[in-house]
Amino acid sequence: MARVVRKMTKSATSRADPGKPEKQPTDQLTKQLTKEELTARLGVLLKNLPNQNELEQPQGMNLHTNTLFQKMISADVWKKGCKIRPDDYYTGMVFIDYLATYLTGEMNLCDNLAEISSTAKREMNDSYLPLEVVVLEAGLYAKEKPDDYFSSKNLAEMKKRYDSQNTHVDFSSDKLRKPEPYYDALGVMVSDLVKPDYHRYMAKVTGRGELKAVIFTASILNYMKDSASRKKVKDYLDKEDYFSASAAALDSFRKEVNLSDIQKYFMKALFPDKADAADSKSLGDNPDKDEHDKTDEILGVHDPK
Amino acid sequence: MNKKIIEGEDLFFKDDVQIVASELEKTLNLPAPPLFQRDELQIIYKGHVYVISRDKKNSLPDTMIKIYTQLYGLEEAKAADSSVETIKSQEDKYFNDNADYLSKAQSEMISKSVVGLVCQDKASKPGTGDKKKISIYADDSAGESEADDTRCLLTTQIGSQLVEKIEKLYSVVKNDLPKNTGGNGSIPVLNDGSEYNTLFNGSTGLLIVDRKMYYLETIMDYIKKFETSFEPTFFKNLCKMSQSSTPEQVSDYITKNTDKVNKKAFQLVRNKIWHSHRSFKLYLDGAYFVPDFKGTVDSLEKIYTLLLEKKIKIEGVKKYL
Repeated sequence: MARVVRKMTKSATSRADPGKPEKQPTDQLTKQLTKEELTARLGVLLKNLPNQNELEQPQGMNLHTNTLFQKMISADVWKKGCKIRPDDYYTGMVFIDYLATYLTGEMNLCDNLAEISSTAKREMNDSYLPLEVVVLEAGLYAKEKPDDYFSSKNLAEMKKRYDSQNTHVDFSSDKLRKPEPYYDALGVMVSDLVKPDYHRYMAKVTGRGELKAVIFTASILNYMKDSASRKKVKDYLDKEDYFSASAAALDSFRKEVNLSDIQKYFMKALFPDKADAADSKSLGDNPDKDEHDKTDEILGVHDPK
Repeated sequence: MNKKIIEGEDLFFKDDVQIVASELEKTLNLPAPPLFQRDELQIIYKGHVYVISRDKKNSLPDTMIKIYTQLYGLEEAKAADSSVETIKSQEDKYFNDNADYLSKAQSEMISKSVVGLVCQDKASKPGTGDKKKISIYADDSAGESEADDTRCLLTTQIGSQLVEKIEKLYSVVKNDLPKNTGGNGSIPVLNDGSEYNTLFNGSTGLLIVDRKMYYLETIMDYIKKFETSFEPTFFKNLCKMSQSSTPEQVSDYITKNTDKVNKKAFQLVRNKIWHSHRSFKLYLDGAYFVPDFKGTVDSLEKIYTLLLEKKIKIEGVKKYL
């Protein structure tokens, strides 16, 4: 049996180090920005970034969400129509966009998520996935990449793609568009895409790719358990090496994520009364085969035939 | 080029006076017009201009805009200490700031459009109604007094013909901008004599951000566009309640009656009105509005530029003739 949603079947056995942090901080920012200063800065960043797409108000999207998506999401990813729960929607979309357009350069994760959504709709009558499932699925997706996926050569390729899309804003330019309340509010919106603990990493970003990388990395850190890996990723962020932080986060996460993690999530959702059992033992030992099969089907583990 | 003789054969001009229509049609290449140059979100409603106030509001004021979770008031142009200018004052400033350029353009237009006239150009402020002298090539032998009378008659006739041609040339259509129907009337239509407000007569409700233009539609007007997506009785009730309800209440009402809404239209209609505490909200003139994208401001700016060009050309005619 094969997971129908997986595009890659090879399991990861050895990992390449994304490289040591090289970039030194350009600004130590000894003074921490207040929340208002941070959101105003993020607002100016967004205002001065050219749009990534010009799609207008699809699916009843409202004004400011539309603006944020035009600044932060590529048309290709947007058109994929990933179904993510409302509370996680903006973070999830930026996460997917960064992985698809900056790191991997392919849309397969969107297809995988669409399959999971479709089955979840059928089985749970809810096709909208939480961020946790999106991140776990991204980890599994990366896990199935070749062993050398994060080799120096591949990383150089990713970095090239990242740099080509990391549009920068010169905050010292005379032509810098000035702050305004509309974009201040969008700054608040973007800052809310990560937990307050990670706001300090947003304070120094000057590029679109950097901002997305922080949101992507922070999303993974939400679920990453290994403390050494977490420290390594945060060290990159402290050094303002946002690309390496994101690559290291994904590389580390794929080593620790397992199919059982995502299965557990759906077990809880489908059978909340048996959530404790799912937590305490691996799903492989679960005597209730029907339940196991159901979560597997959502994840595409089983061939529908 | 058609040679046009303004008066009869007994005139004493050295040359016929000739209107060159093609010159009259030429653009003045005006600087970018005011109103759409402001680099922040602005709302133009019934001839009034609003921007978002930097003072956040904690309670529902008369006017309010909510972006994501942030609630702001709206600052209207009329306030004495307001950083926003009325459309009229923006237009006046535009004419003042570009006075030299516009005056030169007017002079050139008259000189090239009417062969036989010489404009004695002096820098003046367009829009002020100053009348400048012109000379018509005349035969002095006819006597000073008679020549003056003829000049007067001729300039009046030429002027009338030019204005008529310009009016015809710039018969600007109002486009398909909607009428504002939703406000409760507490905000009166502003007739400030500006070209913009004179043309649109306060009929337009626009939200402009990043040079994108959104028509402001009341929730009821917005819902009406999807009439066929609702069960008829429910639609009637929805329209009625939407006139006096908040976006949250309208959204709740739709959500509780999903069986009466076309499945495909449900999210499209409801989410734009309200879906969560992160939703957009605009309260103005006693009504809640939904912005509906209508393209960039380029099309409206083009109409506005033509409107200003028409005014400048007509003033040019009046100034010199």
